[in-house]
Amino acid sequence: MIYQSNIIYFIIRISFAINCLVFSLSSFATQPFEGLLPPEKVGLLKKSEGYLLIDLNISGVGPSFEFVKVVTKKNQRYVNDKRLSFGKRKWSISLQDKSAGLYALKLPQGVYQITAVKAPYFNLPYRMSTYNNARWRFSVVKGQTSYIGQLFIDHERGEDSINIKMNNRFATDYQRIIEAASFFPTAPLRHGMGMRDDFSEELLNSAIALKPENSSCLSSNIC
Amino acid sequence: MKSFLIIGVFFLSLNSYGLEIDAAERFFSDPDMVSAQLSPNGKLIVAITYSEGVQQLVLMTVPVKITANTQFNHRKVLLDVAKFTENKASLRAIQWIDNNNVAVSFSENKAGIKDLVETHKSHYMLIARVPSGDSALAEIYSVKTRGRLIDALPYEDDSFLYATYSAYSKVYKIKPSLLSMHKLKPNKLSKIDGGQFIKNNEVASVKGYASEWFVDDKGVVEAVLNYGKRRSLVLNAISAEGSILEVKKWTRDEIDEATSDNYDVAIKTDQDYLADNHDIKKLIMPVTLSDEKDFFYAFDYAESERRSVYKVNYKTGSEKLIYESDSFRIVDIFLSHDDRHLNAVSVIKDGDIRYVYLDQFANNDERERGAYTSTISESINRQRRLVYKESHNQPGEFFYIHESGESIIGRLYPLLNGPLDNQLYQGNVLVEGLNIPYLLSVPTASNKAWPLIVMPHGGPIGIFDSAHFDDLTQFINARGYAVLRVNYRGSGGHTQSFKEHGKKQWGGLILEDIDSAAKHVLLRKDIDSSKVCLLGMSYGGYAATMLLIDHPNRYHCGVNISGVSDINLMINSPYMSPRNVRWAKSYIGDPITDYEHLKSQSPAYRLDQLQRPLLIMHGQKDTVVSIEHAYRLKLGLEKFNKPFEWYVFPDMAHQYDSVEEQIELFSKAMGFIDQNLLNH
Repeated sequence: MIYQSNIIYFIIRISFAINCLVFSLSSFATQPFEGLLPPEKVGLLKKSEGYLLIDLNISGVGPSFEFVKVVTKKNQRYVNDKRLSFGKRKWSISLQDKSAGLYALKLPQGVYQITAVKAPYFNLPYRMSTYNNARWRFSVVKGQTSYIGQLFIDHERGEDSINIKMNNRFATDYQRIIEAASFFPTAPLRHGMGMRDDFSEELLNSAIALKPENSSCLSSNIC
Repeated sequence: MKSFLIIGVFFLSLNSYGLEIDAAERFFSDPDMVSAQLSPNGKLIVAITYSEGVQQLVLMTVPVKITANTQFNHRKVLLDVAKFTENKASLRAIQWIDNNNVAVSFSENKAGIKDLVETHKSHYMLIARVPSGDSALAEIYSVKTRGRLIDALPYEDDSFLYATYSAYSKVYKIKPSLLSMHKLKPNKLSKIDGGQFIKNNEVASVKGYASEWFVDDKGVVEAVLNYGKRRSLVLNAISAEGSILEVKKWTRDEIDEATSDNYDVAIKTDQDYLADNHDIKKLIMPVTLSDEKDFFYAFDYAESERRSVYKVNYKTGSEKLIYESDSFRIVDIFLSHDDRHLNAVSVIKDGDIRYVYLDQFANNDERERGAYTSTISESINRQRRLVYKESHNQPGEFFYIHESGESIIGRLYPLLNGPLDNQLYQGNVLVEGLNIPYLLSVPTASNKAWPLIVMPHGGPIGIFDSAHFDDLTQFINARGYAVLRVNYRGSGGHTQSFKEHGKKQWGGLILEDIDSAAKHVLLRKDIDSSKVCLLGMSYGGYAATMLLIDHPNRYHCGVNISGVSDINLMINSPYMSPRNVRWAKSYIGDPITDYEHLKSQSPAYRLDQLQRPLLIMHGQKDTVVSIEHAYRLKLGLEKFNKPFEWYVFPDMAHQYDSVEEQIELFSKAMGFIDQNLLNH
């Protein structure tokens, strides 16, 4: 009898452990990571999330990038410290077969650091470390759409170098950016690149901020 | 009737644009000749010329009797780049090896491996042999072994020094007569390069990759700059017996700190810099032996754009700045054969190699007129010379000088006949205790008061305007405008202290300097103060826009070409290397701690105050001042409903890359200025 109860106790403990494991796994499963998607295919935000909006102008075989969350004070947008503390989770974004254009992603609010960009070329591997470079930092604000720039990977490369840049093209691509952001009508557009840039704020907060239909000379030469 | 009127106006506008293009083509054309060298015996001239935009290597025979009217019309083409290769290629430098052979540094773009940059360009040395008679064809030979010419040994027949590099770098004395024709594959009986790269022909060698060899005027290898242990660079003296003695060493850390784009290094040096407030470090390394014993000509490899030539004695540490390029990046330097005097520098201008000949004989009066004469080549007996002459209104010309006179052999601006009709005035204006020099060019066609174009130069730090011939100034003068160029604080060409005064004055005293000089010349009777426009490129475009915003009563229009509109955006550009960011923090401001200040000095945030018409022109491929700057102006101007004109050049980078772009750019600029100054 005692023997049986021990077995039952053991089974209960095992099943509890399995349940814990399943539960913890399912907690990940409830946050499936979809990678970058065209804005129209990205779902609704959770309470603590915001949209990231990135423009891709890339080439090469199977490029990708990785990023981590930076430990910051609450509501901090820019981090200028030389030494950063990172969260444990690492996001890895494959850019394989991604055509040029704007893509979006849902992320929890916070400041993030792109730590590496990989751009292999046949038998020439390439990994650019960006872990302490503020130009490769971005912020996401809950309930808002954060434009984090244009990732450019040049099609031409050297044997041990590639031209990889995160370009601030907020004004240059303004029309495309606001069109993409229009898929998130409840999440206002903001500038989310790692270095402070007030231009978008001044433009967007203005009562006469431009909308595509108001922009009289986006394609013509003389306005 | 109305439609006839519209068609008439349409053709009139087309016609006037066509006239602008025609006028611009005279000033912005391919040169006729860019470089020339006299053979050691002084009887032949070889030159790099242009024919319909294509480079040619031409040979000219010096006439037996030379008079003042002798014309060198006979040019025998030794090498026509367009016929020589289907690829984009260029002749980069020429040197006589002896009276029969000319060494040509040749660069060629190749298809290579798709998207792999290293495989797309090759540089090699060609040898053009002087044809034996008028009807004989030129023969082109080449050195197949990878390496480069280090001395043409023009005083020695049939030989030159050529360096190869691998685990051991070596210098060989090579006979051009034993080389094979270019692109001729060796057969079983022949050896590559005549089998000359052997121990018997070795003149010097050093372990490791040698980046420079230093050869004296007698062809003796005196020193070498080569990689040593732990990737250091070492300047070694070589004795007559071949033994090596270290003169100066640069550690890898020193090199990286001054030049590296590695962010880890930048973080370290940023902290060091901020802690100690050190100056930006230089990395002055030798390029060639100079005309003074134990002194080398040297470049500062830490300079963001290489524009300075130094003379350095590495034994004593003595260092002198001897030449500054006004705005273009120096590629190479050229010396006289016998005394190693610095004759010329080659620079990248308009996407091509151009030679800048240095003033040697200008007296004070000539300096005032920007006039100078520069010897560029001499025969061994020094009886015959080639010289280059120009002045502020005389386009550059090449002359052959003989005992009995001189004859023109080529021109830099083939469609312009100088001297052009304008006068140069050089003056100063005192601003905040500093004398600010300026150059005012005024047309002399009549005694009327001329409308004025204020043309601030780019940079702003280290760049400067000189009194020498400037095609843009001359073009604007010819269009009936006076041109004011100001060497504001921070400009090069003056003292280091003058340059330092420009620190953190982007939107401050530099603008005041330009404006003060403008106010000063507007008091002149030959200047019409009611018709003043600003025109500038890069920083000049920024200055033009800011001054237009700040002083609408003085300036009536502005042209901003490739201009900065948001200073913080520029410093935060991903194309700024850590080294450049360090420089920018020191000379412009810190986009973190000085953000608000730099924002307040950025036109993109002040467009509500603009009252005068602005023309914005920018290259889509600009990575120095990205096109984002132009779009910020555009969005801001649209936001405040300000009138402006706007052109994007899809293939242009920070500067025009072709004569066609240059013509289009300045024709549009002048059309806009005419419309806003003359037609109002």
